[in-house]
Amino acid sequence: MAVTSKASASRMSIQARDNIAGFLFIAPWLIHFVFLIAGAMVFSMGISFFKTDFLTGFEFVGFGNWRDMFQDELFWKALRVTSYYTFVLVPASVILALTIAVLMNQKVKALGVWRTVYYLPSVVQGVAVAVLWGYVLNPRFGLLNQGLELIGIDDGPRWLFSEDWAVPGFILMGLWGAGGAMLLYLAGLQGIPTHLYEAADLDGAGSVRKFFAVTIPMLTPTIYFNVLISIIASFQVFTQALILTAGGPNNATLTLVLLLYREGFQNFQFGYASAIAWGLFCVTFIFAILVVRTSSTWVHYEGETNN
Amino acid sequence: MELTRRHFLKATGLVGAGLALAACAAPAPAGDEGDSGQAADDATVVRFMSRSGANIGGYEDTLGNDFREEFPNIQVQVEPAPEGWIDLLLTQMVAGTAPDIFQAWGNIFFNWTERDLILDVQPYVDGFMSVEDVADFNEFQWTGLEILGIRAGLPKYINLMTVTVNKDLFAELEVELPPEDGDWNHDDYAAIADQLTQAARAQGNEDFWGAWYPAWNWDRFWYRVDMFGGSVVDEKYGLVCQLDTPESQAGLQWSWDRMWADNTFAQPGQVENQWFHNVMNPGFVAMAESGTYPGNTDRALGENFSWDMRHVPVGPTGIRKVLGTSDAWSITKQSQVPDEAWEVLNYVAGPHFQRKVVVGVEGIIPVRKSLIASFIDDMRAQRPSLADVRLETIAEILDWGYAEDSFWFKNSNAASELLVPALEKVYIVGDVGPEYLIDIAAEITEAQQS
Amino acid sequence: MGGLIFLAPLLWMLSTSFKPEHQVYNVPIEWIPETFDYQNYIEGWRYLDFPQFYINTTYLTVVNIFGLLLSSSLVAFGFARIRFWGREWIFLVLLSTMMLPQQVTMIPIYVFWSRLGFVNTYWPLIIPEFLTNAFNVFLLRQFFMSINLELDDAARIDGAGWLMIYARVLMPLSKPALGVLAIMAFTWNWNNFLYPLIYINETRKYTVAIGLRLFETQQSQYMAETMAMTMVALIPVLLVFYLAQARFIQGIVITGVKG
Repeated sequence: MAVTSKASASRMSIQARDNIAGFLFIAPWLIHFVFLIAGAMVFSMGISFFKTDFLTGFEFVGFGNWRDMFQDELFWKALRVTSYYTFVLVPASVILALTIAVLMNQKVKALGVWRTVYYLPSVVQGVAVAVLWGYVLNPRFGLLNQGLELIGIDDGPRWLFSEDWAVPGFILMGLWGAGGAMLLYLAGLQGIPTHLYEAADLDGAGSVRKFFAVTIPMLTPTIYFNVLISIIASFQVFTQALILTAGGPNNATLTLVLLLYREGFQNFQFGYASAIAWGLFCVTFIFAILVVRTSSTWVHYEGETNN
Repeated sequence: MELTRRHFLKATGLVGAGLALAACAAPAPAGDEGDSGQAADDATVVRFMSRSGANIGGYEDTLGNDFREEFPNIQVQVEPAPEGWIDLLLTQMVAGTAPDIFQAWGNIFFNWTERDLILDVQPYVDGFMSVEDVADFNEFQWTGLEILGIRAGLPKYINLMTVTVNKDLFAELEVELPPEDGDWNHDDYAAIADQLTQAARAQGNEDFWGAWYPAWNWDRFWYRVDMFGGSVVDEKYGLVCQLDTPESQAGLQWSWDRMWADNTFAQPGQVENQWFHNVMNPGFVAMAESGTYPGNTDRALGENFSWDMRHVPVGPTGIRKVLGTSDAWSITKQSQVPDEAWEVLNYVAGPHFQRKVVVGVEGIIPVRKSLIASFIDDMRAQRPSLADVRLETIAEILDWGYAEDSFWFKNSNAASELLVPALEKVYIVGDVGPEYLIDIAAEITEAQQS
Repeated sequence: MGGLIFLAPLLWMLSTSFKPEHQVYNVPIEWIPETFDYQNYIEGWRYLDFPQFYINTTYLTVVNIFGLLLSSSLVAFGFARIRFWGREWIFLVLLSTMMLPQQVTMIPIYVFWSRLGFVNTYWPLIIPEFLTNAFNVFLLRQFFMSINLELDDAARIDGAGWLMIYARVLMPLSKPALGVLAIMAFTWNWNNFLYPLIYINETRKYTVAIGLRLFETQQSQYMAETMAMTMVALIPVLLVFYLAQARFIQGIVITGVKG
């Protein structure tokens, strides 16, 4: 036995061996995917072609749900709301988190305390964050408008009670949670080899130059991760909308996931909810692919330099 | 290669070991999942989903001891239902693992009865409940639970709308309290709110409004429309939205004017909006239309100021009406033990459990007429500060019979998709008046036909 | 300092947790309560068995961090360092699994676990963590790819297989990334709400996150109490983060990786 396997192993090309090794390494996730995720994804894709409440039966409607979706004003409204939220929050939070991380990588007094201060907000979750921000954003006595008053803005926006200001309010809430991304940048900064800075010093680069010539390029793998993850997560914004505004006022904060949640769990239109979910999937996928495809032009992997 | 493969087995082993470790080191509850399905002693297990939040201990105690003594062959397993319980229950129903008993209310019952998820308990009522027993429930709840031809469950508790007043603020602003006997109308209501607001402004207080009323709320805007002689929807078929009639418009306009014309009622955003005691506590308003949870209300307000409750004023048409909820416990259609579940249902809606847990632990109004008198005494014994609160108002509302369950549309999803955003635009954003709802009413009616 | 803006809501939360309910909304803000009222902290513990919730949550969190670190690092290593057939496509599939909202996959996955008889056990909360997920794989892969490939080649010349490279080369160089992953896994498991909610039916098996949710009944919302209970849940995260960040992220000292 041992002899044959050894013989066949030696006959295998390096590529074939790498194929086996690769699949073995990713096996845990493959098992997860095959047994749990793939089934659920295929299932939800399948039922988007049915009218069903999961309970009393399945009626095949072909592309009926998809057609309804494209004709549903609320779907387009939700897509607009969600896109607005995503395309403001993602760049803003990436820049904010990066800035904080760079600051938190300096010699600052009580560094650990400050890092904790920045990180903690990203940990306050669910109802607590909603209750808290319900207060922060209160037009009359909330923290934010009281703060604005201090700097001379007396009539602050009505935030969650206004059709125009509700989404900006959510975006501020999202920015408050930028500490999770900060943590990743901090870890990324740890991995930058000192010799790169030393080399830059020899070239006589100033600190600004070093930041743009060394720090940023070396952080691009982490930036890439954060951009992609933020896009995916922002397109699925849900909890705030459910708890704080229930999509209001006048659907100003009706996000795509809130819409599909309502259609599914309140209206029992699980087929239609699945169609919306896959619509959301397609939109996310398009933007994600854009980022993935362009990544080779701006993401720099130290590991690839010698290939 | 050999090395790789052997190490891989090792790694797989490590994962296995990790999982095994998880199994062994699990805290007590994780290990013994076997016992949750059946009782140790051949008793039938009835799974009971409790929406009583942190008061779940009261349910466990009484159903585990008092009930068990009476029904030794039934063991009740109380399962908690935190916020998010609808997602949980629906998921369980799809998978066929739903509990036998759950708690819900009007809208949900309509939706779920349509899908045949709820057991009709009328046969049990006919078979096992005496006429006197049935007569001990309040009529509006009993009829409210007749849904699409079935009896959806037995009532859990009662919630009624009253006007909660801050007596200290009335005294401070030297305005006379609304009458205890309910002999006041909407002009008086508006006038009192105005006097309060003016008096506060005269003292230089800009952070005060006479009253608060959540007119954007689906469950609470309609009874004011009714009091002005209008109605949200035709009662018989639930098909025609009637918010465009002059009477309905008058009711809607009254609420709108108070907030957005004279601002003697607080606008959303001027106060903390979500819970009425958060509105009342900082002294932002002196009156708030709200539900009746005397225990909770006293805990939230009573330590701060002396409060009291009043009947809502009578409408210009002479009609007085408020929301009275018919929250109820129901048996799921998929229950394998409906007979035992009925015993539990009958017990929790019965006098002993109602008095001991619903009143004693949760501090809310029991569903039994015969318990209302003792409810008032029990509440005062529980919280002595309630001695000055006119809890008799509750008995009078039930006695006079002006509480009613919310309206319903045949297709309530289509209606709420249009009506909820419109109410928010009118009352929360406030940039349009109730005439905005005239077109919406037509759209709603159209959506009902299709 | 910008930190103050981040800090303000947290400070407000802290001060509110010590206030009697009726002082919560006073204007102008009272940053330091008139009197320190511990009642809000005691109230929750009186009703529910929070110590048990802490034991349950700690157990789940510790086991899952272990499982997640192990499985994520293996899978991420595969994607980052080994050129195998179909790698780019499989990775794209991996990324795409994050793009479908869990609201539509929740029910089929629940049905799967319930058919296995695993409802009301911790297995549906543990097994997926031992099989890792897209977020964590992606995160670690990014860090692994930033490590110089020459190190692999050098190790291979010395006769090391992939697993040796994984264990002896990559792991020691990835401490900050693994530390960050552990912190995030801790936070996520500690706060996880939806899965415990649907899989756990009995109070005695509850976690802190869902136990807290039991305080929001239909009748009431006590601001001060909610804030107090949130603080109670937050303190372990605060401590763990404070200790862990000092260990894994040194600050100005940039550790050299010389290739």
